[in-house]
Amino acid sequence: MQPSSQNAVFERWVTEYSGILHHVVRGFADGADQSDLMQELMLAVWKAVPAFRHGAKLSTFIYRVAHNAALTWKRTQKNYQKRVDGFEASPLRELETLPEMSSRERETLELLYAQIRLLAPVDRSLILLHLDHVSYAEMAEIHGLSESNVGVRLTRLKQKLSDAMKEVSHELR
Amino acid sequence: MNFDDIQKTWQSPHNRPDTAQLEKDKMKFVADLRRRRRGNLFFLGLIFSLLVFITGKLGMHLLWPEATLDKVDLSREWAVIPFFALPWVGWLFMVRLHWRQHVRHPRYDRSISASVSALLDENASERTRYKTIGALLIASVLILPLIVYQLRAVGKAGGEILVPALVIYPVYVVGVLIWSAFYYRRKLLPRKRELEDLLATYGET
Repeated sequence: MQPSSQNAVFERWVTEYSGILHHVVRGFADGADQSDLMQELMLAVWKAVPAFRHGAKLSTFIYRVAHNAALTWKRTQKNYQKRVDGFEASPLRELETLPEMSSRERETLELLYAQIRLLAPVDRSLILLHLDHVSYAEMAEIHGLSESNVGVRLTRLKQKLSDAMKEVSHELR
Repeated sequence: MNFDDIQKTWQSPHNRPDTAQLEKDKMKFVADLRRRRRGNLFFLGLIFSLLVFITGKLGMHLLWPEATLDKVDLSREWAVIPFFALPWVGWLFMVRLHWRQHVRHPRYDRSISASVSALLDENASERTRYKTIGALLIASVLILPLIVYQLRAVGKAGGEILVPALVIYPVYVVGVLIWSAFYYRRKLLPRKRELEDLLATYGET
């Protein structure tokens, strides 16, 4: 594949599926790490362009590439140090730094992402896919799991996430 | 808050990417990609120049040998053979590792668990590579005194090669081994554990 056509396809995919990248970045990284992970995802998508086989579902392909890159992403020491120095890991502390004018919805969303980031990596990926309305069959294909395994895990995860959100919402009041 | 509420929050307009930020990220990525390409080209050019220089030098010696000095008497200077064979042994070993990786994971991009499994194997190959390079470097340090002895015995070298061969080169090898051990312990082993943990979560329900 010519580099110019690879760049053109990359540009189109990133624009069209920016939502997927945005959700993955926020679900897997916070603070200064987000920019680092976004660059990692873009590199993964750019590299994956020639590997896409026509006939396959493009969104599933992008989901697999992005989630794969996020799961195996190695946080750089520099950003990690920044995060430790900034002591911004706690979700409640993140909220304190939000502007007062922020809507309740935005706050809840921040809390939701913070709770998702606390899950185990594969669980994090599954819940992000589920929230994006990816079917069980596609999730099974993306992760190499059985559909029933995906179903069992998601039932548990949905409950876990709801409970965690109930708890933090209650703490906020 | 139940899961329906969570899904409503997920659909919120605040959960959409910021177009300006996305453009900024894309520009940063393209600039970074160009920088990497320039770096790669420079590196490839450097290696190519070195190879051309060494091959040229060797070619000149073969075409216009300096009568007595370049004649190699293998019965008295045989140590150069294993010494020059070492890089080839290393190279063949790397090719074998690369090929094995390719055969074991032909469809590593099938799913994320397959990719993680391939990455874990790649990590194992990299660790083996580091060990092999270390062993070959140690072997080269052990052979070098023998080469020095043989070259001095046939009168092809004098005392001027003692310091580079018996001090500078071993010090360089020790430096490389220390750096390799650091990289092995601080990067490769933690990465191995990370990937094993990730792969293990696929077995859980």
